[in-house]
Amino acid sequence: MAQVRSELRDPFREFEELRREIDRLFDDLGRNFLEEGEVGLYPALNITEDRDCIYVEAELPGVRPEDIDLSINQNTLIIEGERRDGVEGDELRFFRKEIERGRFSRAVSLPVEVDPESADASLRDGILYLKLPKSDKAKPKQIPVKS
Amino acid sequence: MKKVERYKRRAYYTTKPKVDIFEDDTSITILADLPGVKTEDLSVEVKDNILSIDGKVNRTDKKKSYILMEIDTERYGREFVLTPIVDQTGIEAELKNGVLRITLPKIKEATPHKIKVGG
Repeated sequence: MAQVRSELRDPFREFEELRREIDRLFDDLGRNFLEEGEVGLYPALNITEDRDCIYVEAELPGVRPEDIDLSINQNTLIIEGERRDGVEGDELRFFRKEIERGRFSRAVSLPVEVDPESADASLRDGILYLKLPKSDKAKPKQIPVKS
Repeated sequence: MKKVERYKRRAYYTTKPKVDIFEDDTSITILADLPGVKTEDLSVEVKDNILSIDGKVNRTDKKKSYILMEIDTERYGREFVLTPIVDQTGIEAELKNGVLRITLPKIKEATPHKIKVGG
């Protein structure tokens, strides 16, 4: 009886609990979908710059260097390739298959024109590192100040 | 509230790597994508039947000015409970091209063996 009375005293408490549960649920969903965003075969990129160069890092675990194609057209960089480190066999039984393989392609616009002739690319620990020197006309010009 | 905050912070710093797990007759294999992790920054250990992977990402671009940032993983971590059929003394791990391969051999009792039929 005492139990019933205490619930009657605060009829909205259950709604409040429910609301909190729903908030928590959305919080979890948001984290899974946004923060650990699934990119699949669309390599994630970091692009940074300094005065002379643009630097690009692309996550490409399990991809061999010979399976990567890079092209630069004016200020568009295209990273294409194929991840072929798949394991197959009739005798294999899979418990989890989260890693995606196959062809990928990504085009990204760079903020300035770069010089493709002196670009440098290397693949280390599953990350592709690109160093793209800015073309001369894209570099900032020093203006000498006369006294 | 505090618990949620703490969880969020941990989730930010530690990313769960994507894995493939499969078995054949003699072993179980785990493949985990750990781009940017070097061998010396990776630990794979077994304790109380739990196999844990913990790898630090070597970020070289921290001080540069960013145009685009999609990769912000600082640490990869994931744990797996081992079943009794795994021979824990024979576990091997290899990191190559940002992919970790852990081979967990099965104990003899769990691997199929032919029984000769006498004629």
